[in-house]
Amino acid sequence: MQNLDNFGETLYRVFQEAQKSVFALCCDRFYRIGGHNIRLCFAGESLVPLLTPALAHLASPRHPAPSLTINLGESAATGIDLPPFPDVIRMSLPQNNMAGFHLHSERFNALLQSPQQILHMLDKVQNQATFWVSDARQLPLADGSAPLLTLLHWWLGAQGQQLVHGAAVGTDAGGALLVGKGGSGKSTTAMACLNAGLYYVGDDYCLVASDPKPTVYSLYSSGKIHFADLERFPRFQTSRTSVPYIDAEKALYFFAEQFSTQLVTHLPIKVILLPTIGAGQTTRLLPVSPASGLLAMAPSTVFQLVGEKAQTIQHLSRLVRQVPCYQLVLGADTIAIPEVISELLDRL
Amino acid sequence: MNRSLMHYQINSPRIVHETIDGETVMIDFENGAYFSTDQIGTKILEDLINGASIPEIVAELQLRYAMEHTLVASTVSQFVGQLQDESLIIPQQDAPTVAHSPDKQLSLPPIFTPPILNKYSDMQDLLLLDPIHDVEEDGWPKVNRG
Repeated sequence: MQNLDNFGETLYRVFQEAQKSVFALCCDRFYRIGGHNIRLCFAGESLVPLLTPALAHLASPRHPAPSLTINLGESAATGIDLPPFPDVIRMSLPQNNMAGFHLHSERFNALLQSPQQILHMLDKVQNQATFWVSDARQLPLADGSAPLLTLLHWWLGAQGQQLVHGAAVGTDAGGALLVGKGGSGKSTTAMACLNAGLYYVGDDYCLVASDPKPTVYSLYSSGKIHFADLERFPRFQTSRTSVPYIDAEKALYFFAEQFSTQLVTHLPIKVILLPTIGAGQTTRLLPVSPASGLLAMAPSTVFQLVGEKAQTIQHLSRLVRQVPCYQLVLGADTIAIPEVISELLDRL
Repeated sequence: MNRSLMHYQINSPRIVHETIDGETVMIDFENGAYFSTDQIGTKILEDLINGASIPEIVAELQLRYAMEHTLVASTVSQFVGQLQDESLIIPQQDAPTVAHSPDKQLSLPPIFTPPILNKYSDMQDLLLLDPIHDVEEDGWPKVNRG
């Protein structure tokens, strides 16, 4: 797509202009994600406190040759506007309704979110990406709890790793991947396990790989709890963020500091668990088929991530063939949940 | 055209399907619905997309389970109808060039039960609330030049 390639090339020049306009405030951050060294290059500081807390546990020293560089900037802070969008988008962008426009060429992958005017763009050839917002105050909760999700999905997918909509916890015996649609009890289970002292890999999104062996990698140290459930985890209050993300239906937490000994970068996947809310008091486990595991994991992952859908299904299909799947029927006694998971991991 | 004489294929790329241990999961990328089916349903689906006609599938199942032809035929026809109604399969444009041979790898239950196609629609709201439009070379929205 010629227009997209032209836009992508122009974007590099625009970013350099933005860096010049706020030169003294530019900064770099380095992270190790999924075994890769990734550099975040900020034009100005406005996005740093909004996008880096969830990645804090993966911070690494400066690396001379990062595998991926992501350039980040904001029009409101730099005074620099994005170049005109490719004219393949013919309509005026809707002002009120949420919509995204996914464009791709052989070289570039791009997502433009409207009406917030957020751009995600990956240069697959140069291994460079751009994340640009019109106004950082318009960043939704998702961009704070799971920053740069789309760019990481695209780039890590090309490296043979797969983002999955799911949580992961574990012990020294290994990791349990918790999957299922929203409301199934994944977050509640993950928070209960964190509260009980288990290892915590992530809440909403994790990174998985099948080779050389099934492994779940941490992406974000964040967690979200419905306001109605806050009183069940009073210990987490220290980790709750005060940053006013918009559209917040849940309270957002960053656990890197308070739970530094429990946050792990990766675990071998021993089991895939499908939490469901049960009727009784006791939490129990029921073995289910790999197809059931795929059914719980694939749709919510595919429909919450942009692009690469067929590749996503292939990755996840491979994973459910490699590890056992169990339905985790959650009892009313949530304190017992971590022990059930811990015992299962010891047994497998 | 008489459905029993038609050959079918998966409605790709809109539909992706994966079969694991005799169960099949299908996802409709266009409307957000997703489906699962059991061993008999998987058998029928796999045979269809591998070139078998409905009469061939019926004959094989009737022989395997020693059942009355009418019952098996109506069950298979109904299931294929469901697959078509949900846009999971579409008629194949060209007749298959290779004769169908039964897939010996697929395990089947000892007793015949009518196949069930489970449909899940909980993801559809997600697409409606926050749609992502794929923009191709010819632009978006697509202009009807007819």
